[in-house]
Amino acid sequence: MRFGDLQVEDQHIIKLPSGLIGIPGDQWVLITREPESPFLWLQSLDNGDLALPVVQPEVFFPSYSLQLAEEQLQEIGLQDGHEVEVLCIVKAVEELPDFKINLRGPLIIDSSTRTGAQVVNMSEYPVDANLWQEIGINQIDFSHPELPIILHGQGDQ
Amino acid sequence: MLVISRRPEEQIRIGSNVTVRVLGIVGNSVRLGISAPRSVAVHREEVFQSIQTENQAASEAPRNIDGIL
Repeated sequence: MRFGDLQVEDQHIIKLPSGLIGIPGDQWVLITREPESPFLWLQSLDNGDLALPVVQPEVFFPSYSLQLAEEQLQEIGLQDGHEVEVLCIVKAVEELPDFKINLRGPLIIDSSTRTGAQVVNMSEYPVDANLWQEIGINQIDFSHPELPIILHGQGDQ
Repeated sequence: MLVISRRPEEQIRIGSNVTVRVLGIVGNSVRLGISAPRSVAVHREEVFQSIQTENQAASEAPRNIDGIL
């Protein structure tokens, strides 16, 4: 595991039956290293070394909009009345100001069933937007999605 | 794979409510008009490839950022 051993319970598991686009694996968890950080890690349970940073896009792009076709919602078996959480994958590099975000291929996750998929936004956003295009580094409003998140800090590995 | 020849303005139908019309041909580029209900997602294949490339790159985040994220 990238972050050492994790205590995972069934209710933590996020199911992505189709994996990510081009990356297989249907069982994942969300990890936070810092309770106050907007960055989460999407950690694969099929491959311990595989983890991708994710964020809630609206934290960094308040104007973000997601336009989907009905069949993309059917893909995650979304039921009426269920809330959907949206997460975008971040390309983290050495320096925070150089981070990129994929606004075109977000993850949508039914927060009741914790089942989701990576979908293609019909709004033509870039796959590698500068993360700090709309909001400055010091202007982040902290929030977390309504999904189970494992707190696994620096001292826990 | 089904291979069909079509001339400009001719179309093909996929299922009961998706049609693809050849609008014109300029040089080596074919313009297609796609009519599909809103429930059907239509994307260029390259979008999936670029998302796949970004996923791969994002999964290779350097270890020395583990301290800041």
